[in-house]
Amino acid sequence: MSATDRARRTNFLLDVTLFVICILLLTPLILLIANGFKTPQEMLVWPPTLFPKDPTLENFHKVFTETPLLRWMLNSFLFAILSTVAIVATSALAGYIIGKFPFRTINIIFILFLATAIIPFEVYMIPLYFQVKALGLLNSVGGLLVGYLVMSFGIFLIRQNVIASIPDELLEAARIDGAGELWIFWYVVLPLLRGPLAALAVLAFFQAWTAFAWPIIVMTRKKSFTIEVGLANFQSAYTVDLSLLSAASAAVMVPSVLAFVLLRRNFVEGIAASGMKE
Amino acid sequence: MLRRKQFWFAIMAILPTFAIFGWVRLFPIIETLRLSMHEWNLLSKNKPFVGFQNFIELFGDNQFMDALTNTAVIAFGAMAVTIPMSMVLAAIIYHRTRSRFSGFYETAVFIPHVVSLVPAAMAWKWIFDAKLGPLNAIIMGLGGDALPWLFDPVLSVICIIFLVSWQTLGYGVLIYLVGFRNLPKSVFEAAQLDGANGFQSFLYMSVPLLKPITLYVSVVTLISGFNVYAQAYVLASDTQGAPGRQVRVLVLDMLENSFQNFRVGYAAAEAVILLSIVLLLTMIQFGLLRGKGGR
Amino acid sequence: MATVEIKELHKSFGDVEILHGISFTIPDGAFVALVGPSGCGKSTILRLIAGLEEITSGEIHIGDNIINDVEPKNRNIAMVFQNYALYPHLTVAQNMGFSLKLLKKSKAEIERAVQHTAEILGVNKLLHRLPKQLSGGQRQRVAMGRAIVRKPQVFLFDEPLSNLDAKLRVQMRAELKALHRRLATTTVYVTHDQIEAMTMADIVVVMRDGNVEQVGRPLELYDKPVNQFVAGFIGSPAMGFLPATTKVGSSEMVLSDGQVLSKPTCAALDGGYIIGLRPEHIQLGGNGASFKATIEASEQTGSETLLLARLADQEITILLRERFDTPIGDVQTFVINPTAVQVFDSQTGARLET
Repeated sequence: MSATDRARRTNFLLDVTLFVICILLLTPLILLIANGFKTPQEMLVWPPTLFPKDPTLENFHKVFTETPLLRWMLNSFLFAILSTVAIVATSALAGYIIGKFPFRTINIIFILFLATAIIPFEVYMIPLYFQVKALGLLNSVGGLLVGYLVMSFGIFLIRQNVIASIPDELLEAARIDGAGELWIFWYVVLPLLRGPLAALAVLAFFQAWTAFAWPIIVMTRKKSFTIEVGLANFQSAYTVDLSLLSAASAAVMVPSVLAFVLLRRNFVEGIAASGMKE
Repeated sequence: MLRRKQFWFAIMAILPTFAIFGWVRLFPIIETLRLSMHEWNLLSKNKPFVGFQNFIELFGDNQFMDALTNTAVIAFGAMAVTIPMSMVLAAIIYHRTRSRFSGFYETAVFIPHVVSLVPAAMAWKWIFDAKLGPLNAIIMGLGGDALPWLFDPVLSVICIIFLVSWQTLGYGVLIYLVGFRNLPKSVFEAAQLDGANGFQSFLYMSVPLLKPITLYVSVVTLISGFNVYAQAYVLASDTQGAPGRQVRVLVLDMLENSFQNFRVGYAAAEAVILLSIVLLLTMIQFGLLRGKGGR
Repeated sequence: MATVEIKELHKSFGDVEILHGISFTIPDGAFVALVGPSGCGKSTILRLIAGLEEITSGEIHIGDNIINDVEPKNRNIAMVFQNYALYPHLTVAQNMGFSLKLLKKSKAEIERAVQHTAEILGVNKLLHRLPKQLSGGQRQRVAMGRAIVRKPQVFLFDEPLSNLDAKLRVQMRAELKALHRRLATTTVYVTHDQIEAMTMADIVVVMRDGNVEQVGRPLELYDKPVNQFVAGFIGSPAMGFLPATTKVGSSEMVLSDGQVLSKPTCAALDGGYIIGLRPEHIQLGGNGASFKATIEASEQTGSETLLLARLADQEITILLRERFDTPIGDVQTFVINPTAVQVFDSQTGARLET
């Protein structure tokens, strides 16, 4: 066999293997979506069917009209957007300062940020909960936000980018021209940070959207649940109907996946950056 | 003069962020450390200092040890599955970078990671369901016996390991792909000429050269493994709402102690133990990385 | 028998053809240099011989076998890369022994072979070091050691000396040549430095833009370049070119400023041509057939003088094997032996035998 043919055969086998693996990986999700279209009776059939014999939109309809799913999604969305804005704003400014204003005090602050970065949220969320409670912010988006206003990694990411891609000379030239520091930050620095800020925004949104432990202790009233919490409590809260559950899960899942497929580049950039922080 | 002005601007600008940080990060962390040495039942104003008593009690507490064991098994189990699989998968995907399907592979592999924890757990809950799920259907179709996946203590832990691995795989593959892209191509050509086939190149060249990445992915998956909660929560009942076996994990035990047993100081002590484990793992990672010369 | 035969070799990357039908033969045991400017395709040929790239069309033979479809590891070839490509995570000893380890040789055998090769190259004291603990020259030797230990039938070198400093380069040139004499293995050596090619090779292949311009012994290329490109490429400092005209029956080549160079053997030529003058052939002088040129720059190396001069509105280089101090702007008189003057066709660039 010629070298080209041999390479082609290997590639073909590898492609087949990868295809199979990818399909296998996605199967649970495909099944979930398929289940959403099954009638409740069909869900109880044994052995279970893969695809609905009698697909129905009834479940989806019910899920959106008879359950607070939509409301939960709104809660999550509001929370995620606000958190993203807060994190991007604080990270941009703090990252810029730490990167371009290397005073001793600032450096100490940076070390503090870094040191707490490795500590998982679950470790200190209980005292924070009491803080939120004392402020009367339980069961509100505000309360949720308290835990997700800053992201140490975000600050770090912006700092790295600021050091790598914003030359000191640019800032000095602006200062000499008489520009104020805030003006410099807004009109010079921010535009240059567009890429990393976008990646950070995606990461922050994803982090807030998928948060679980924190929302579950802060939100105790059904109406204020975020989508994750609501879905987890769906059965105790609503119904034993499996197809409904699947439809609800599918409804939650699809937007995330779509968003990912569209924003893949930003996402990957953000995650790869978090890997390279070493 | 200019420097002073800049200094004050810097301080002012970072103050809001630092203030927030102090309130939502520094203060709670210190509080946790402090509370771990006190006893507090949420209701009384009294929070007597008890020294290390909480910690001593924890190690005699069966539920806590159960949680610790389960969590450790899940974390290390998930790591043991994820690392080799993501490395091999990344190697294959990297080899096929020029294929028109490479975008599909990368996307498909990563989607489980992107799907939020709860819907993903729901999907698997049905698959693992002892009475209705396809897993048992396949097993029985092959002539075996149905297994009580979510009810048996050992099996339910395995289910969680599986779920966590499935979710983390994409992340591992992504990081390894970046690693592969940064490997020096000429080293592999030299190996090729020295007589190495694809498998030998992978074993003798890729694996050792990717050690820093392996270390990083290990620690990250271990740490997130120790914080597992949502998956245990969701898989705690079967698809029909009947209570299955709730796998005790650290976070669960911690929250239970705090909000159900009204022992906040005790829970804080658990948090401190969790923190120590995480710090230990991180230090080990740094130590090992430095030992190998960093690069 | 390890002759290497290249037959009508074509290589394209996508739609772009890099090699346009290369053919030449390398005799068994010869040291062949592939030279040419960047982008001429010399490294590509090397990689095709190694099997690291696929052949688009044509054949490569080693000995009696066509190796087009043979895997790199089965071709019994060793290659030294430009950046050495040492395995960064393995010690020197492990680097050199890797190929033997893959062949499942015994530990004792590997140790013996590595020790032996290390002694030849003078790196036996470095066996336990990692590549990053070695200097450039040491890494180079280890790279060579790794290639030698396999006892291949062909060595391939891809610009191995270009990352070394000048002094080390001269030393390594001599060592490589001595090594070749000792091992007597067929060697294909790619370089952009024509001095390396001239001093080390038995046969030189000059390439340009994916074509072979000339194949021959170094001195052959120097004395009888086949065209203007080879004439200008071989020899340092480079040959200077001037347009000149002559008439049938005349023994003179007339430059554009009217000056005359004598070349009795050009009597059969008629019209406009390009003449080439090697800097080392031009001497100071005034008697008989001579020409004047204006000095524009002068460099003294201690034993030689390099002059940049303007002759007939062209810049030429003159190399004098003596110290000669002359102010800039001065006009000097030079002579050149008529037989040293080369004549090229002004359209094709081919050298004309005169």
